Amino acid sequence: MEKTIIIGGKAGAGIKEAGRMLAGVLSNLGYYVFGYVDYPSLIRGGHNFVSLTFSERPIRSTDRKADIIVATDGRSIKAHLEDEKEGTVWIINEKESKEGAIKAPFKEVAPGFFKSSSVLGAILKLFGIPLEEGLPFVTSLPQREKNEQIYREAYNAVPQLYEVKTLDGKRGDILTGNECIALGSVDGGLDFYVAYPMTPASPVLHYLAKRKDEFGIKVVHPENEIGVINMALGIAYAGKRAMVGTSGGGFALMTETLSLAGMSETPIVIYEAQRAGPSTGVPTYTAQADLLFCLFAGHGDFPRVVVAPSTPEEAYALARDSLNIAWRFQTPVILLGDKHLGESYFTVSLERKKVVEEPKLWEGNGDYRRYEITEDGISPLAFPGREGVVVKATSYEHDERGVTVEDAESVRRMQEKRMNKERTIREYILSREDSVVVGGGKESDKVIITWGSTACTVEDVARELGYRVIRPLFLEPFPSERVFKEIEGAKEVLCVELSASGQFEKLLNMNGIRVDRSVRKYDGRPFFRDELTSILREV
Amino acid sequence: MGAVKSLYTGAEITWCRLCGNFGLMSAFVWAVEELAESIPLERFVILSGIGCHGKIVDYIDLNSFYSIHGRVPPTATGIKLANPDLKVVGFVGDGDIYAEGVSHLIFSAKRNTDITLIVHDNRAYSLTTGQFTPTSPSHFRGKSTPEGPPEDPMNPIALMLEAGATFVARGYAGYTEHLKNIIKEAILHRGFSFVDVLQPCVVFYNTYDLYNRMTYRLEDVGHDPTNYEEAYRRAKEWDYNSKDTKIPIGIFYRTEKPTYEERLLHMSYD
Repeated sequence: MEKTIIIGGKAGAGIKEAGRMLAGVLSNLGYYVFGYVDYPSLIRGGHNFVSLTFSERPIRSTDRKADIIVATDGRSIKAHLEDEKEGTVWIINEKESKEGAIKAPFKEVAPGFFKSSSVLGAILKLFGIPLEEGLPFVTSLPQREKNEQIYREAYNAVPQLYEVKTLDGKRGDILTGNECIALGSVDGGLDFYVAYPMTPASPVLHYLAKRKDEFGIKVVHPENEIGVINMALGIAYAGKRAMVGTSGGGFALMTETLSLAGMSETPIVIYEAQRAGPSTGVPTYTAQADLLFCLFAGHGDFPRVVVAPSTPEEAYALARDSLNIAWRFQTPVILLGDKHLGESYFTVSLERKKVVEEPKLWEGNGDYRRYEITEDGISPLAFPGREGVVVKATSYEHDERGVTVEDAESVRRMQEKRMNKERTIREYILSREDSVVVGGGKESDKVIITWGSTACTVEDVARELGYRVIRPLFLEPFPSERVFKEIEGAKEVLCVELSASGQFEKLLNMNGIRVDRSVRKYDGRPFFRDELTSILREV
Repeated sequence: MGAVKSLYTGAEITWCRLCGNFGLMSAFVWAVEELAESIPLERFVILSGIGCHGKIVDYIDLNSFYSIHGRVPPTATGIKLANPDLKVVGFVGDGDIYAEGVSHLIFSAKRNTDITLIVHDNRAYSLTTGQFTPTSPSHFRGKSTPEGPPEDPMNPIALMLEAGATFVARGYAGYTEHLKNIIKEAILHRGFSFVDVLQPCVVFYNTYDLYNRMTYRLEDVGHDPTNYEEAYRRAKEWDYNSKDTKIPIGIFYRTEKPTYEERLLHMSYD
């Protein structure tokens, strides 16, 4: 069985919570679940909805048109008329009316607050899921008795229309991309997470702040993003692993220090969760239009790594790897995500494992030189506090000791040292099996090339439509050799992305890769399965 | 000069002859040497922003982070958070910290981060060849404001007292021993210590004569640095604008409260 359910209501009415509880119940029954969360940038009022698909097969996307629409208020009925298809079942608030709709008592724990328990009750009954399956979720909420009461009331008020069976075994836990990034960073040896609040990266800050003692990390919230990244560089200089998190606007403030990280060769991971811009834009919606900004941010030439996970499993693994890569190469790593990957929830089966690789450390021979010139461009690290060692990091061009120089020969040598490091990084990335991932119908000569969270929807529809999917996980240094190899022999190449100007396509073009058709979306929403299917059938 | 030489990298010094930075550097190195028995050299990390002052980290052979304009405080805070055993001293300029980095400065004081900031306050942008800074007087004729700045100077001593700094002092680069004693106290202070150093620039704003004539030492007038109201009154005596009022130097205020590192890292008090 596979169904898509939309739950809509006022912001603050517990819509997100209802979706997450439903996802938990379905996951416990053995289904794969994907939940898309659509909410405006406000705390009360407005219209929120979640669109949740569950299936017996792995899925990471949802349909725009739903099998079941749960409208907890009058506005939700109007808002989701366009999401109706033939046979859609409506459950509406008992105070509203719509022809053919099932009515349910969507009661609030307090006026204007938390209808989530009653929503869960109505849906579980509709699916024929035993009442007991929802109880652990409902009873873990505050005001437990009141929640349980409205849950039971709604459950008993609705007829059963489906029989959602319990499957054999659980497929994983319900996690958001942001939670996977947080867990990955912890398992990559994170010591400090430093961030200023900004949607959609803030959930990582909140998640880690809540669990910092359990994870053995420190979480710092400084005065602004400039303070954030400079503090993180200080932490790394003194020998501890730091990651910062923000979105486009905050990253813009960090770019001055991105160059400092490049010049001073200080390891840092920047999680950049894209949202719809430009400027304040549409803060709680998604886009893939910070790509070129991340590739080119900062003044001067210095190596950087830009890595973009598509799935929650990749978000976990690449967050972990990002810390190791930053320390291995002593340079900034940008972990590029977006609202869609960060805040959607997925059934995820994570095999957590701590992987903390030791960086190249100074062995203690002779005088320490922070910027010693080596063949691979990587100088051994030492940290302040060690007897007999003077560690001089700097934003100025410098000699091997870290003292300012301006003569032509020294400047050229150090630029070349850093470019040697870039060459070393490129070799490393090309040596990774996952620098480019191939999915969908692997034998097809019709190719979709895409990146980031958009690949979730693309891969969910590609096999059925006969497309091979190619997506690089590393965008800088760009593994063009690998992409060329995978694309070879393709009759048709489509580029699918969430950018009005086609930023990913421009990156491909820069690397000599031509595409035949572009599919672009730029309304702040991700691609939905049914939508992308009909677009691909037309082209 | 033998003692200074031991802490010197050998880099060519490019400050102008008679620059106030020499007095400041001597005072700091002297303080470090006097503290050497209790604080081994490897436990010092010095930082600087961008401006003539910044070169100090190239000259002194201690661990250092030559940061960017205005950003010393967060970097210094990060270093202290990662390794609380380190003694972290940031050298900053007046344009650097009172203009570009003023938000970071205020937050360092607000947090009581256990770092020391020493401001090379020459009241001019000198490396960029002479524009007005936040502490330039309104009669300062700079290259960006040939008629003088259309705004009055700020008073960083009063600002830091208001922001919650637990050690607030003013020194003068012309009085090296007095400045050395202030810097020692600042380094030993547990919490955020702030020292505004009057530092003449012989090219763009030569104030030696002014400071030689007008400064007096707070300890000579029996100032009680534990008295906040008295500290604030002394801070307001000179507004960084007038040429004919007395200028107090010395420690205005010192007090104790838990540091940022203690609160954030849940470190125990000694």
